[in-house]
Amino acid sequence: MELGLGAYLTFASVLFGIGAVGFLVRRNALVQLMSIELMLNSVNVVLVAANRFHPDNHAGQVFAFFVIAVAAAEAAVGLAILIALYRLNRNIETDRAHVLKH
Amino acid sequence: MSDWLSIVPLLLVATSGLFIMLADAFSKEKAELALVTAVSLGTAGLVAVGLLASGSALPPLPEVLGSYLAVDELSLFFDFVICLGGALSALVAGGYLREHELERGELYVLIVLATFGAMVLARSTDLLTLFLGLETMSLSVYAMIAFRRTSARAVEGAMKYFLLGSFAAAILLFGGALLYAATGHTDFAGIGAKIGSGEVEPVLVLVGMLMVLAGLAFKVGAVPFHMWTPDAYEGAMTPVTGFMSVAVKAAAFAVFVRILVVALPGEEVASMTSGWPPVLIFLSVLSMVYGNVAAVAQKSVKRMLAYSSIAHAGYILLGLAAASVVGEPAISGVLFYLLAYTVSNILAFGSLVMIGSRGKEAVDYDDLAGVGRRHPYVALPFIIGVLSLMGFPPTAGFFGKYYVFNAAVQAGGGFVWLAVIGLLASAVGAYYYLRVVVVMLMKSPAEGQVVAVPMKSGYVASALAMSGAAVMVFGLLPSWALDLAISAAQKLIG
Amino acid sequence: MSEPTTTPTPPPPPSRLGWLALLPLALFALALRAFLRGDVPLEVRHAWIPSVGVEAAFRLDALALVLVLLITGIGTLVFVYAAGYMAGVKHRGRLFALLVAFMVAMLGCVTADDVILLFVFWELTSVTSFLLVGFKHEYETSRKSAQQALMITGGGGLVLLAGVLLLAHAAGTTSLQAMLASAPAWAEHPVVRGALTCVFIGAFTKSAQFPFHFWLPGAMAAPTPVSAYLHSATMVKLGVYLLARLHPAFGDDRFWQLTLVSVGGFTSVWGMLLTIRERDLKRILAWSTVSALGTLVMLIGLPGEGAATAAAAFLLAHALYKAPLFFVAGNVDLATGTRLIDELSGLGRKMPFTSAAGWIAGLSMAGIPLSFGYVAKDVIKAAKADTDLFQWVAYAGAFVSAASFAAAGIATARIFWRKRPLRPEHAREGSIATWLPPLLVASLGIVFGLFPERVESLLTEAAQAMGSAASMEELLTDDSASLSALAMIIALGVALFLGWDRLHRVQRHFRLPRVYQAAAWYEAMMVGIPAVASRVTRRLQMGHLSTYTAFVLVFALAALGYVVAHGPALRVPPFELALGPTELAVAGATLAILCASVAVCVVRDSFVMLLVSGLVGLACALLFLFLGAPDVAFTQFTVEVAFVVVLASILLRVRRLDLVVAPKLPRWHTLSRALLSLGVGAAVAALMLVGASFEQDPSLTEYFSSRSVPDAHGRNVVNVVLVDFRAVDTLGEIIVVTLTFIAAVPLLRLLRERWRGPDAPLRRGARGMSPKAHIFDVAVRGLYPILLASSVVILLRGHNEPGGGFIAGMVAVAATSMLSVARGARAALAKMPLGPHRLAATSALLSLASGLPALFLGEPFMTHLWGTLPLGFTELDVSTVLVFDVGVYGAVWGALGGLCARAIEVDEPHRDDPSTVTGAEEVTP
Repeated sequence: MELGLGAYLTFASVLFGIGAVGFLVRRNALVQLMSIELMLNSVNVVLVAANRFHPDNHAGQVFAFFVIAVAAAEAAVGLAILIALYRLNRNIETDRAHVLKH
Repeated sequence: MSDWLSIVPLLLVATSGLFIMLADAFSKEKAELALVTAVSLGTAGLVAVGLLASGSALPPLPEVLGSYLAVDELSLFFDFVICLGGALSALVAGGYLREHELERGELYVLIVLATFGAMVLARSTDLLTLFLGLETMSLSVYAMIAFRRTSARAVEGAMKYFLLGSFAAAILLFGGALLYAATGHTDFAGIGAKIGSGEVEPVLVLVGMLMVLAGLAFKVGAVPFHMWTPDAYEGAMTPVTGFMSVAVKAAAFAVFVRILVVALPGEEVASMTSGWPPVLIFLSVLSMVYGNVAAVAQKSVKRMLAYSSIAHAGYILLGLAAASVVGEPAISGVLFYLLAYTVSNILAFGSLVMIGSRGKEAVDYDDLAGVGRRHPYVALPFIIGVLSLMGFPPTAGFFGKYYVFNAAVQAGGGFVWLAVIGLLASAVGAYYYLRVVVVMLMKSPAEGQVVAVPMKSGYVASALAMSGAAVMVFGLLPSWALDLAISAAQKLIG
Repeated sequence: MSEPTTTPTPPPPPSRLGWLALLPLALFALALRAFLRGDVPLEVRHAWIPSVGVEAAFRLDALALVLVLLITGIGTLVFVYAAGYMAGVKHRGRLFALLVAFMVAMLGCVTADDVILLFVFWELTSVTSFLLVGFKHEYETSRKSAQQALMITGGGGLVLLAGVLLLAHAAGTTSLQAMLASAPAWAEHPVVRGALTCVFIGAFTKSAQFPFHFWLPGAMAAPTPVSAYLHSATMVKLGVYLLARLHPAFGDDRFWQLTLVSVGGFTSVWGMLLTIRERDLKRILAWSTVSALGTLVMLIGLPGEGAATAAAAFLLAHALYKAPLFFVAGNVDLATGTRLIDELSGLGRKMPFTSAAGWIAGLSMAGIPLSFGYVAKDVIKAAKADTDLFQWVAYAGAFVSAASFAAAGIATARIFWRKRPLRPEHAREGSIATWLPPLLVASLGIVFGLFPERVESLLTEAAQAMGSAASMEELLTDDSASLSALAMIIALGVALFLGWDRLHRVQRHFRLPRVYQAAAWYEAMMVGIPAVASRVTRRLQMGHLSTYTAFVLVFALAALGYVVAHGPALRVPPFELALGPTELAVAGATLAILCASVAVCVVRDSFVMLLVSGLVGLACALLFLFLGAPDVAFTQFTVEVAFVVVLASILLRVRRLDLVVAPKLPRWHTLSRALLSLGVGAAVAALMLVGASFEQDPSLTEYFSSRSVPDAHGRNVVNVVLVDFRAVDTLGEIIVVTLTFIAAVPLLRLLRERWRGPDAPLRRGARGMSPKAHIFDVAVRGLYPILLASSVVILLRGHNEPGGGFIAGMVAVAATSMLSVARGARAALAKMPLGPHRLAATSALLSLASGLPALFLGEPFMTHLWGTLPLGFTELDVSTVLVFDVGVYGAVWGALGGLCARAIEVDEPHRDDPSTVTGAEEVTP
């Protein structure tokens, strides 16, 4: 493997950026949830890639494992909230929920 | 077993969480879960404070845990603060759920788990435990906000907090991953040592640090990462709002302190030119000014308290920034502030719960009109709580504010003027806090308005009595708690 | 002001609460005794908060003693007076309690020898005075003025805190004595100017100095005992007291002198001018109090030896005449029901004692010789003559003296003297409790006027505490110049008195534009700050999530930009690309990921988007595989699959509900469901085949391969790390997973129950399955046990090869999800041992318990034990680790599987039993 850490970091940053922009521009809560998944994927790419350069204790891989697992839990709770939202508003457009403001 | 002595509070909370979970799963009787929750969290808090006050040296943890969880006075102090907040919130919630006929056991499980997450977060010494604690706490809180699932407000608040919170968590994680990429360590001490050695890519460290700070700033509700705060606070049930405002905030500040002191202490990252102090100052000034100004505009007391919590985050951040210059006095000031803030906020939110009853919750200023005259014994705790939040002597809040600003003044230089800005901003805060007092004592309800009738609940009343006593005791005799905070801060700095 | 009653009734007997007067009386006696025995200064110190050097230190020196004697002495009479004045009034007990609290706070404030302690009591006086002013809260004016007084003095107090903190910082101590003693050393500190500004604001708000002066007349809505006590004799003097206290440190400072003299001087003149505007007796007295406070502030600012003595003398004199005049005004109000001077005249005959008290006090206020007021004014005059700097002060002083002569005339001669007509007819003297106190205080003013030497030592010592050395005697000069000046002032005063009504009419034509009225500024601020604030929040906090996100991102980008611009330069890492097969695969995967990610953000159709995002996840998993992290890849894979399945079925349902009129949808829907579930099964099966063939990157295992097998008996490094080296973290993770279940399930539950309602028939059509789908159904039934079995295999072999509790659990979750897509959640959950809730809780306990055996063997908790179980054909490693892993497996399966099933089935009618509605839901508030 001759690819340097910089290459992976660049790739991860772009992926992270795409996720962040997706989260910003889309209004559909499910899509926003997926955008967050993209961002977390990029986190994992950094962790796993950096693990190759710091192989002392596998911290990166273990961390990535936890990120995935906890992200799954997070997504589950999020889905439940979104379903509750859908039930009340009949849509999951996040910007259409603005009872709370000012 | 003595190896585990220092995390006994944590273990107590974890076991009681499992126990309450099982009790909730296998039994139909939910009635006394509030009491069980409060007692177990309270016991954990007392054990923590007992360990802390005994002053005995803490044995190191076994190897499996050693590098992930801290064994120090700071953690015990935060165990105490967080458990106190959790126990009192559970009591308030017990009264609230019964009064509003929302009795479902899972709220208590969530409170315990969120408390557990907060405690892990506060003692984390590794990005991994930080993340686990953060998520345990946050997921529980998201669910707690959405607890009243038929209320559009509750679900909207939960949705906003969840999406933004996950977004912020992703930012924090990416920052953490960058720090790992730069240093090869996920533990704070390792990161700090590596940065100190100078063999790291500075840009990676800086960007990683900024992203981690942004994620934490989100959790403490500092401007400009504050936008979720008023919505989530308003959408949640009042006891949950109380819990969020104390335990979540305390834990987030705990990890803030630890990261700044342990992982980012060096000249490269803690200098005024290119490190975290200017970042914190920026957040702090914005939060103090915006929080106080925005709170003035509110009609809802809950929303006002939400904005005021943003302002309080600003004061605390100022203390943290001052820690880069003066160290221990600033950190102990922050610790005491968080303790004072915890009891005062529970007092305020608990009284708000107490003033309402089924079919008529007290939320807006108008709901409070004349309560002080009709029900002085309910209004009194509220007034004490609000005055303490305002920083009125001789309450706990006053001394909290005094220590933090005093530390900033001691830091000298520009910090002096920052402290003055903070105090002037808090003079604006006097407007909305005193308005609560004026409305309760002086105003009469408008014609035809449905008047809030206070509920009768031993749980809420006892929570108010305890937090009220704490506000006054920590105000009149702050020395005891302050000495604990000072010893915790000294041990941390070493 | 109540309607005048025509039939006189006997005055109600004084309230028994008046006996409370014994408390201040005793304190008064103690203080006096201490002074006479020469015990002053008296100090009491207790450690309070030693760690920050704040002491509970009290110090009674002559300056404090003057105030203490006033507070307790006048306090005694106020209690007596209140007993008469408040007789028969509801809630009078509360008033007395508040008066006691106020008195304690005042005493604490003037004796405190620590600035923090002083501040504490200072704010307490603000809050008690707020409650006292608002005592008659049923009146709107009463409420408003109470609020105003609180806002101004309370807010000013916070500014004072800033000043006090800065002073303590500059001086390095919070002790007043230490601060004053070391003053020359730190008076040049750069923060002192700022500190003084803050202290000034605090003192000016409390002592009603311009531009904060307007709250004091407003506070006249308070009951008269309160006005007499707080607003003439004691509380409003606190600001003056604080300035006097700090005087030794800053007396020579030009900034100090200029500010105090100009603000005080202006307030004293302005207050007198405003007196002319009033017709209400109490408000006239209030404005003249404002003026007197201005004079006091000015005296403190004046350089020269005599100023301090003059200030002390005038402080005492003012309290001795203004308090009785307030009592008198209160008596008149009680007796007549009005305080308007136009409706009052010739009351002297009907109210002889009150009238006498008024006359005596009036003499003092007017500065007539032989009264203490005269003495004080004489001293003031001498002090002013001392100063070469502020010549104009003398002219202002002359005007103020004349005007106060006139005001005294209005407050006494005008209402008591004129013989006819007597208005109102029914006026009559109240009980002894109401007329004795004013008479006593006022007479004291004459006694001291005749024998100034009685108070001389006290006042001189007080002045010394303020850093001045001139004794009163030196200042008392009975030369002809002072007599002629007196004559001039009296002449001017008489002219003002006679022309009072005319001046009043004239001033009506000269209304000050609102821009120049401080009260208008206050009103504007009270309205303006909320308006501005609400405009700000309306603009920034619009309730839209996208705005919030934009905020976060903009600031994050700004921070990044700042780092790039100002931070260290970015070293571009070497970017060498050696094209081998692995590199190509990595590059392909990354490219695919990027393209797919962009697609996620661009594609409109949410279903397509979900599939694409699933692809991204899978590609990432592939990437991890290439990077030598098969466990991470495995986990990613299973989680991604479950995520996509659950999300897809929700999306399908949402789409169906939204487009319920579209005729073809049900069939498409069933088909897609069937495809989906088969896809899940196939994907998981493929994963297992692929995953088994991959080895970990050999270079990675160097560290652990030497360590993990001997230590933890495992060859799969990551899994070993997870269950052993990080066992407790994994426990935490189980808690997260279990928590997820508890958090999410209640949110999902409601949906089923609610949608059973009105639109239930709509969904009935969607339930029927086409024959084609039925085939898939059978396939799924067959696949389910296979998947479960493989999950068990993954669980058991996890320690040596990729696998382990979490991944195995996720495979089981995928199986459950698949089954519930095909056959409904109920069927899927029924196949789960114990049911999801209990399975999760029990398993979590199980993994916790797996750490316990070690404890009995004296090892630390979570140290795992090992043994080998021969099975004949093979040997199975049996350990507590396995128990731990089984716990993880069960928790993941129970919690996430239950959750996925419920999410998939959400709002679907039950297939088996459509009538299970449990529990009533709460009503939306």
